[in-house]
Amino acid sequence: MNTATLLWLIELAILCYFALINTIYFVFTIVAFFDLLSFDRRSRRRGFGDVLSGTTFRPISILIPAHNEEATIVSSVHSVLELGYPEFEVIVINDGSTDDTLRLLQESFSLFPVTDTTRPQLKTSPIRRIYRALDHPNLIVLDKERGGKSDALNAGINVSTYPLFCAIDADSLISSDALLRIARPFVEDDRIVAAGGVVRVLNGSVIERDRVVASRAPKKMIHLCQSIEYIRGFLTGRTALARLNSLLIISGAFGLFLKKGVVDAGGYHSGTVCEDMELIVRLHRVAHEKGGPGRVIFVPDPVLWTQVPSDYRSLMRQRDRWQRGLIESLLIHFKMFMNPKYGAVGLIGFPFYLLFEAIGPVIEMFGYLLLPALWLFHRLDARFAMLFFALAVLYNIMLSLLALIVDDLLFQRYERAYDLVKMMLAAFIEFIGYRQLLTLRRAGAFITILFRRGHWGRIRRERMQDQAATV
Amino acid sequence: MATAQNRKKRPVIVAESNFLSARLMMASLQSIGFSVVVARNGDEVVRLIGAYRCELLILNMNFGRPSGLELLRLLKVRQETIPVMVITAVGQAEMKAAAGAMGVRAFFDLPFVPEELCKRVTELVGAP
Amino acid sequence: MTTNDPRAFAITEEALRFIAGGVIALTAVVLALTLVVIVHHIVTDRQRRRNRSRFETASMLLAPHLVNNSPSLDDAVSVARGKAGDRAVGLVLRRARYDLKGPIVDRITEILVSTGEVKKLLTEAKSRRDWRRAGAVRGLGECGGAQAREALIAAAADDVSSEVRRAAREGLLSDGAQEAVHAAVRSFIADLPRRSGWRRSFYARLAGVAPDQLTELIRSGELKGAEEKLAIEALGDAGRPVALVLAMERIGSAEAEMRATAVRVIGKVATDREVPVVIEALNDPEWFVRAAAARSIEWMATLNAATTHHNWQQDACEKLVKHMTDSSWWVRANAARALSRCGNAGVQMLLIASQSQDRYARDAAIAALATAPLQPEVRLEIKKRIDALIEQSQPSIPAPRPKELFA
Repeated sequence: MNTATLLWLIELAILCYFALINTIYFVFTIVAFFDLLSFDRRSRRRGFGDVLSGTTFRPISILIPAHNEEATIVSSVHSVLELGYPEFEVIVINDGSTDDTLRLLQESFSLFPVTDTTRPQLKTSPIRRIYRALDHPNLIVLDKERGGKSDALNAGINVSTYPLFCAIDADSLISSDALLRIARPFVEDDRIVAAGGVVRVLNGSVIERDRVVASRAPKKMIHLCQSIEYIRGFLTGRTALARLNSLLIISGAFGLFLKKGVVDAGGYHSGTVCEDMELIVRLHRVAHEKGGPGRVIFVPDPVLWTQVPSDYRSLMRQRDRWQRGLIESLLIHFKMFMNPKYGAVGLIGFPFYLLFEAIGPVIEMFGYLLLPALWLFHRLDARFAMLFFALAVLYNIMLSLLALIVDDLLFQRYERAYDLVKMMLAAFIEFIGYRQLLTLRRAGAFITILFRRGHWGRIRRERMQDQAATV
Repeated sequence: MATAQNRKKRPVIVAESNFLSARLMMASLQSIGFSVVVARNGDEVVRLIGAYRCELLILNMNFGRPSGLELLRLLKVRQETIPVMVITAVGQAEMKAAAGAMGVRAFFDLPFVPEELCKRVTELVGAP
Repeated sequence: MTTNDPRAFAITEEALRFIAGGVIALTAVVLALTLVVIVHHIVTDRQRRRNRSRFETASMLLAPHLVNNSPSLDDAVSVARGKAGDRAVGLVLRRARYDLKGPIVDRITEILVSTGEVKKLLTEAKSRRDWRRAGAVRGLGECGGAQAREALIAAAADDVSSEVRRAAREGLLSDGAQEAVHAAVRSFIADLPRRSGWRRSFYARLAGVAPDQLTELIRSGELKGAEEKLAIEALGDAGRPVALVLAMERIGSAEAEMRATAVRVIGKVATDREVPVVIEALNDPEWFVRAAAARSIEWMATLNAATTHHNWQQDACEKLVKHMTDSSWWVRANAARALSRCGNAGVQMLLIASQSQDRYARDAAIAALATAPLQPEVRLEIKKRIDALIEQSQPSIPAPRPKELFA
């Protein structure tokens, strides 16, 4: 085979890949549109005396892991305590902070220590003290030795007394009825083990006293691009996959879990890069292996506002971590791949995430690099370039626009048309630079996992632990 | 003696987020001579209590943010002595118990008869 | 790309070009759509603001007439319809009917019929789309009246969609007339919705609207097991005296869960006569019955107007203190909380318990003192004592995990 043919085959493969993945996203978006439309219709026509007024609900434990958060912890906790949910408890886990986090909490809430009378269901690093608050009977503060976020969450789960728990990051804002909305499906369906809500970019919006008063398109380019990514991601991925019960990722920032399901699956594992991703995959797996609740859903109306990285360095680090976390989670539970024993997750979800989310960036990177390389060697075919542009770039921009359209038609989260227009223009600019940078980093993550020893060691250990557990 | 003039300076606060429900309560009380002010959220309640010497706070527990319970706690922490009447829908016994723990003694059920609302308020704070 | 390529690849290339063409065409469509959506956004935003202000205008115009049930209501409605439009007035009237009680309710129904609102909803209730029918059916429930009732009864019994039937039942319960409620109950029994959340909310509404029908349902034996308990609890939550009768019949049941339910209900609706029964339940062999008894004592001390005076509380306090050393965490916690609500006597007992030899009693007492309604000076005093106790505490032996009440 001569180089010309080889080259042409490679080009063909890349084009096919892009055509396939973007068409799948396109189909997902259309599915999401109709799904959300019917959801919207049903929710808009609810009567007055409905679940939202609180006659039926399930109490929630809100876990707030904190490590060196002295700047924001007190206001975050106050903000969460003000939520309008009929019955909930707030558990703040001080994960071995070396700053004034604990002292500030003690002062602001008049904490006093109580005896630990819980038998831990999950193993964690030692707990130094448990405190309760004099003025807020539903606030508990755990002081423990440093163990990382998973460990802190597990400790919180051990102490919690309610059937559902929700892990919230200290720097996120949750809207007042978001908890009610995301908890609602659990009342109606007892097979649900995890529910994810919508996460949106906080930067740029107008905030007053811990409440988002007006939603605005962000000012900085980097925030704008992330904002579009979030909207696109929710529409092209979550809704449709949730319908197929193949959802492997719900936002770590905003997830509501059934405690029993999580404890049965072993809680959060510390050995992983991205503990919330790995948990979801494991929840699916345990549900299929042992039976029990296993539906992972996505609820489109509760909104959590979170601050996103403002500089490229932290952004890259975040995306690198997410990508490595995803790949790790997939590799650890690789036996689910194309395994009919695991139902839709194994046959649809797993391959989807593996081929498109995990390996995808590598192929995409290759495509982006190929073009200039070809041009350099005067081998660039005009047709290939045009096809590439149409299938990789244009298609994607169109998907972003479509996502914005659907989002606006159904939810109208931006008041002013100006913000909507700004977002749409940004959809074009996202593709000049931002997207490529991220893809480069994500592709890099893939290679890191394959070739760096540390990761494999971790993955191997996890799998052995797994096998031991299932025996 | 509290004259009609003085009374006008001491409004009743209705803390209710639904526009019509608030207006219905407002109209009921105004029809017998009370001065009424509507608060749409917790911040407004706090502001009003700070700005005026209020007669009574009528609070719907299904308030937005902060929740009715948190608002009661906030008032307690600030040592506000304003009398509070809590409005609940039928069947919210737990809410009532929680409010009772905060020191609330007066409760009122929805749906309501305007005359009864007036009677209860008059019992609590005296004639307008 | 040479001409002697294998056929398969040539086809693939054709396919790709086809798709690319499609993408370009689609992009043009999407770009056009974005313009449409932007315009749509502006238009609907304006519309929403307008609807909001119309609703507010109509509310302000009609509220004074509604609360007085004045003869000028009809005129006010006409004026409001002129100023704010039919839709806003319809919404205001329906919501007012939901919030108010008394003769005004029927009057509103008459107006809704005469302005054609009911007719509009009746037409929409025949729509082919489920969600539209469900919305219309709910609306009819909010309107009330004989025509609406007829349509609702038919929908509750015959509609193919379970969501519409559920909405119809809600509407019938909103209506409140005896035959409407009867039809709702029949429909409910026939359906018996799978999801417990819906069943619970149905009982709650039924207890609020027509407690005698719910009582009849309970007595008929149609509700088995957990359903019977949920129904009785709903009656208790609604404060219905008949709940007391039902609960007293079941207080000696062989089934512990039923005893717990009975105790809980009695706590909410008891009179002085039943107080000893609840206090007696503190000695039940099952921990969750004891925990429920302690909770009920708390309710009787705070929530239940018939029992909040102090005659029985001294006796209760003495019995509760004994249970601060109960083997179950929930019983200890509930007993401590109940003590914190039993006035000065209770708080005194807690202060004593907070220095007890038993670690668990101490702990429960401190936690309860934190939530007791205390004067600020007393609270400060307690905090000082607690600070002193910090120095003395040692690591404890972990106790067995309590069974969760919400399983």
